[in-house]
Amino acid sequence: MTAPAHARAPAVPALDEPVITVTGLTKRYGRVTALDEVSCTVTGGITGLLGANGAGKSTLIKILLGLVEPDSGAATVLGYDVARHGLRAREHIGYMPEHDCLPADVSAAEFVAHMAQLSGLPPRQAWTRAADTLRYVGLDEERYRPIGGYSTGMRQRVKFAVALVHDPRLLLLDEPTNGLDPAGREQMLELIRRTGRGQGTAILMATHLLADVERVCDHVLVLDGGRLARAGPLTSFRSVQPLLRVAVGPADAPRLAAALAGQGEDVRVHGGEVLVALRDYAVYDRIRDTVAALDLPLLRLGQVTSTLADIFAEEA
Amino acid sequence: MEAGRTGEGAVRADAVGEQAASAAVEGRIFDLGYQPYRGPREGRRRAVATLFWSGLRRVWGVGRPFRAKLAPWGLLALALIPALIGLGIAVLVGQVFSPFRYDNYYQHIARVILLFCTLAAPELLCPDRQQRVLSLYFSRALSRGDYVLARLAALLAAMLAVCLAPQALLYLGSTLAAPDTLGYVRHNLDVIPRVLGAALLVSLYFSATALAVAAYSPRRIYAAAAYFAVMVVSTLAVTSLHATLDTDLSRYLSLLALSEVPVIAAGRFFHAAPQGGLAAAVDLPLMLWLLVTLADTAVALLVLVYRYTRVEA
Repeated sequence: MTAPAHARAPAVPALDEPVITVTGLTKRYGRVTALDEVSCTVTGGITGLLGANGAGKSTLIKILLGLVEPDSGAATVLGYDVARHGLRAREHIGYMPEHDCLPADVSAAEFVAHMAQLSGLPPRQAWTRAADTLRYVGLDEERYRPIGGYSTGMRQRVKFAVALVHDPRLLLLDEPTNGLDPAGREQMLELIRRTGRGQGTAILMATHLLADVERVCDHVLVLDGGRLARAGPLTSFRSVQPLLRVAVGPADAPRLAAALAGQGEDVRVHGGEVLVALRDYAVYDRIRDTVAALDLPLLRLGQVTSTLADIFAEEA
Repeated sequence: MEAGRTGEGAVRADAVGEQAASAAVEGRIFDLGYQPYRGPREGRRRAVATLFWSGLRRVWGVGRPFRAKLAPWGLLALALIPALIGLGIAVLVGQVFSPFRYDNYYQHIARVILLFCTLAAPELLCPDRQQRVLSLYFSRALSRGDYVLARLAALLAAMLAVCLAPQALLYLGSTLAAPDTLGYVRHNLDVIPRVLGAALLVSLYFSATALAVAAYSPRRIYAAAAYFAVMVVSTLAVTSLHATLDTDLSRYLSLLALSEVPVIAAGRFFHAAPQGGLAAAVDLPLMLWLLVTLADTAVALLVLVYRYTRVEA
């Protein structure tokens, strides 16, 4: 793909326009394959990049930023080929890393203004823009104190401000709710939602929490062990049925599964436990009775919190 | 985003305003929300300039506590002392008696220069890696080469200031103290390019080598200790080796006296080998010292760039 005209900022991406196009992306670290032939398209709006730790989310984002070089495959961001015109593309990308990346001894106002200038804004505009952005993320008077004394929630908001200060067309957020308490998490998700909905800034948000994706995303990409497991609009994921996890000991699990299946339940054995589809609440009673009838020890019975593993269990 | 939407404050102000604020100016709070930026963008040029100036500020401790300013400004003052003494002697008893001249000045302040870059180079590289700011830097419109270039330029600028400020003071003072001001300038015009050349050589050598060592140290203190050790130990080792053996081999091994090499090579610009010390003891051509200095600088720069093409961000 050829680069768009010199120095012209790409237009705000429309909801159905591809912002990121990835084809056959592979990255290995020694014997570990972080990404395995991943091909996908991300359009405008907010896209969740869902996957367990080590699924390849951060690697994908770093490749899009040009921080990591892929072994094979190609990536296009905002119409720019990352390998050839990475610098051009990065003028219009905001990145919020997963890890801590803020200096302790300077104030948020100073650091965000510094980052704005690194994105090409002249000093005066950088300071104004830094103050506006910090106010937007909810840091007012605190912004003049050194970052070293900030709480995790405040630091995450400073990182978000750093990503947003140069008014990028695309935001790449890596685990933005990491380490936040429930209230802080709500605020961060609300901030992401407002930013994505309001100005039409395209957002790719990597997370391991399905709940975060459900709260704010329009589209979802699911990575599992470096492979693209699923991709599509969020609505296609809502059909996932909740599951009950029954633990009776690995040796007896198949026996219980067979008995429950005989009663017409939707059952499978996964990791030494029996997973039963929670179609109605009477399932609890039927499981209890079956376990009693087989004279098995009931070690654990509970609903599986909706995490990625369940989607895969559903897929299997 | 509901741009221009009036916030809660405005609603309240409106309610009260009905009766009370007919004369008073009505307070209105606007929640402007997220605003797009439509101002100028200066791209990579601005990014490199920002890194250069922020680096220079960090080296001199600008915008940081007093103790961060102590070392750089104290060392600059130390570097100026011989010039002040030289001027004093020149004024009191005459120019020719001054022990501090343009051609031997770097010998007198060699340790100050070494100490300055020992402390300054780690400031420029280590905190960025330690605090993992590099991932933010390299995800902007900035290449890794740009980063190294900006940091090197910042240290070079600071080192040039330390090297040139005393010489400038000496020149200016001597001009004013000379009975024939214009005559002094005319006779010493050729000194200016020599001083500049020598300062550039010495500054570039120390900047490049100090940054190369700092690029591999996780913390400032290790970087400073490692660099100082490499410089001082190498010089002590080959100097004492030559003093003991006094063979042809030990003479050439003296070229490994890392803290002395550029200072002796700087003499090439004045066509005058430093008197006394290692240079006199081994008596090698100044051109050889100059070539070794340039080679060491090139190696250091390659090491620095190599490290930063690979450093994890």
